[in-house]
Amino acid sequence: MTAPVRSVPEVPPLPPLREPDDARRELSNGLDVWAARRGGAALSEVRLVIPLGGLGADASSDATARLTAELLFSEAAGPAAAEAGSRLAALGFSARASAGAGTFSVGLSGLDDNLAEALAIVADVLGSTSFDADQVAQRAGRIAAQLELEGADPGRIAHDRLRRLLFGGHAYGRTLSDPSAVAATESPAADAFARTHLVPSRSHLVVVSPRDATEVLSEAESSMKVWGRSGEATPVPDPPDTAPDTFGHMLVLDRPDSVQTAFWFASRTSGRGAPDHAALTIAVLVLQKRVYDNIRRRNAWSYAAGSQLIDLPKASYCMLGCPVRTEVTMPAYAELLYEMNRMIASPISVEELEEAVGALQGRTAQRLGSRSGLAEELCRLAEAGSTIRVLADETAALSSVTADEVMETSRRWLAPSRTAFVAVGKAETLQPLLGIIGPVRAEPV
Amino acid sequence: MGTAAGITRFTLDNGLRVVVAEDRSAPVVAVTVNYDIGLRTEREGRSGFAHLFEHIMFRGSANVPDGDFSRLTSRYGGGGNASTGLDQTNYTTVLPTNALELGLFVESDRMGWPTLSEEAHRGECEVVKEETRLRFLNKPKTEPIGGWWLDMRALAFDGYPNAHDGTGSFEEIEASSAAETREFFESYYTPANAVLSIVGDPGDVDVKALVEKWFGVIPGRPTSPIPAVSEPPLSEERRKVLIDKLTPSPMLAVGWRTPDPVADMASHAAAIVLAEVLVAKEDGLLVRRLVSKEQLATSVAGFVEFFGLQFLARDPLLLSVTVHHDGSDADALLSAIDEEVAQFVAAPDECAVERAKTTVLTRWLQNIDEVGMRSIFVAGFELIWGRAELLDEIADVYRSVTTDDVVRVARDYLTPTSRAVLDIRGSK
Repeated sequence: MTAPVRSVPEVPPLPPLREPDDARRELSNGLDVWAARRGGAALSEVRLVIPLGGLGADASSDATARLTAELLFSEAAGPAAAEAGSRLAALGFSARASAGAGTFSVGLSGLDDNLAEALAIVADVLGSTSFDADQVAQRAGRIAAQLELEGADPGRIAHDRLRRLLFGGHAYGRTLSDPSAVAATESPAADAFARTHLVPSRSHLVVVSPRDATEVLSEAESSMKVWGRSGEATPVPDPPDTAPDTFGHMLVLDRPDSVQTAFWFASRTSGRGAPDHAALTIAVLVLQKRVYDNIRRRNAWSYAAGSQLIDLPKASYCMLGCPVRTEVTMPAYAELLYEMNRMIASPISVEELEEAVGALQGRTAQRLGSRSGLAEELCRLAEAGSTIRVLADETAALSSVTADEVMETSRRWLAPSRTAFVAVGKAETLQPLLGIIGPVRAEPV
Repeated sequence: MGTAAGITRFTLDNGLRVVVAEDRSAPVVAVTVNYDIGLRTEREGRSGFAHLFEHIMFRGSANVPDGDFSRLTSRYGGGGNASTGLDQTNYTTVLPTNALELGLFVESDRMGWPTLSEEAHRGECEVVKEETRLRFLNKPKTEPIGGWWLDMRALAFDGYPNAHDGTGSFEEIEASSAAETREFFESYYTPANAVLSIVGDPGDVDVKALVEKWFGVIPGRPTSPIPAVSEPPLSEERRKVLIDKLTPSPMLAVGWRTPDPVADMASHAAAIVLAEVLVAKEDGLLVRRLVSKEQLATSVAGFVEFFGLQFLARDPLLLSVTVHHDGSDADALLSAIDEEVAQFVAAPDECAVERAKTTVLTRWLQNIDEVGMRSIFVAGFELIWGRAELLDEIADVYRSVTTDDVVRVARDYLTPTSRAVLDIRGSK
């Protein structure tokens, strides 16, 4: 049968962003609690974010924060913590702590009926950690072994090094913890960390539940008020500007047994809330589509080519790149440069602009459509000191961006001359190839 | 607890089964088509073809130019993806409610008249090879969803459908042709071999009329028979040593067959609970024994296939346990595992079973909270069981698992003579 000719159906306009019902209050212990309602299944999602100030910039303090996070819900963290994991599991909750980028985070999710009890367990653990020396000594080595495996992933290696190039000695300059520093961390350091840094004041708790937000806020208050450590969490300091000598050099991290090159460009950009951020998000999305079309669809060089804008509370950056088989590293590099230069040489088309605006507006609605998506979004807003109103403002701001503004912001932030570059792969092959283009420095992974 | 209140279903004249599961708690909707075809259906000499075909299905159709599948939906905030499993291949698009009809248009055009061009075939051959390098060949085999899993299936099974490498040998992928994609499409991508699910908030539209409008014009045709994939369990232990240059520390992987999920869903659920009893983060029997008590291992993990889609594959499946260690003897690890299983069978810890049940139940509810994933389950349940309602019923299936059920699965299935063992070592 011959295929029928069919036209693309018209899509009605996107309805205005439906903000969730929410309630927010600072508790007597200084904890900022933000509850939001999301209907559907009787599940709740909780995020707790504790800013760590400048901590985590050096390997040792990062290792202490990481080890504390890994052990927080284990018997190594004291009597309350010893039972916490199994008590939470019995309530239908799972909890996971993590540390990085200047924050300590706890994620908690489970059956909404038991939310109050689960929060009380977490509050109890946070307020009473007391690390057991033998347990810490035993477990630190195991965690280090897991980190070694994590650090063997070429994508993670590249990202970690780019962060160091962009943010230097700031806490944002590290994504992978040093396994040997973690293995060497002892219980007094973890105790001191918990005592000093796991404090409620100026920390943020986000709770997404299917119940009324005011009711959930009261419940969270009752559960979390027992967390009474004194002191104040310190916001992450502003990172320094990227050192200019980072730009224009190619760094190859030698991984001799690689069968692919993972290579990425990265540049610091304006942050969320900056006047040109809406134009920047459009620029990065258009660049992402162009790179995908070029590298994946037309040339079939990579499965995962693209660009991404990453917003941290105090800084943003764009990453652009792809993993490709070693033989096509050089042409893929050249094509990415071409795509970056296109963004700064001429305005994007009207169609590209409309598509990007529609995509970004629709994605916001979609992100808020799942419990975890809503919790993550509120968490980001809380860390940035913003309110839920910002989402509607950001969505509206997209509509007024022009193609010229996208070009201007691309020139400001995405020009190849202000990017750092890292490739993880076989240096023996890559160095002579990339050396034809410019200066290359090779280092072991 | 309800997630899929008001499931409705109908079948089009061409044989396409349609399930609608409304949930108006957020203004988003998912459109998914699950085809009853997966890695186990590809023929000998064409490993990786089902996955390659899934890629090619994104390269345009009669009314959607190459490159526009994603462009059309993403301009309204939609996001789409596809995945090829053991027995099913799904195509999912999640959209803001106002763009539902667009999702139906795109998916119906793909189902009815995909382009399947020579150029797309050649290009996607290269892309899937890059995907394999990215996911498996350029990473340690011992990553959680790493290359060990492919080696495990090759060791634990004999029949081609179960044992072959579903990512595909590069030679066989390159040897395939565009003509074969047309043949594969005609044989298996028929409306009657698929279920369309629409999950979430469809808005104020007549969903059935829209489905009729876009999918009803696709001509029906017969589906080729799906090859049988069953095979007997192992009668003696199989073991293999692998050296992986990219692996920083060694790992032991153990795989056992599990009960048939279609014939005995309750026992399949018990196997999932059993995996949690063994590997729960702090309290798992193997975690306590191997990691905490004897310090033979640095971590233990485990799951019942197929990753997060445990109820969307047919028999035979594996329960796998992975043990990362620092050079422990494989026999010592296996003996400890055997002892723990035997001890559990002799004196089961009821509290541990209850905790594990609650954990897998919560994980299940979280898994289906997002409409895209929920739509995959709705379509998959309808495809395998003819019961999309399982979306709500699985919670009760887990709740009904008894300690005796878990013990029975441990006793009958986790035996030393029926396991496959991969001993993966680094190059150091």
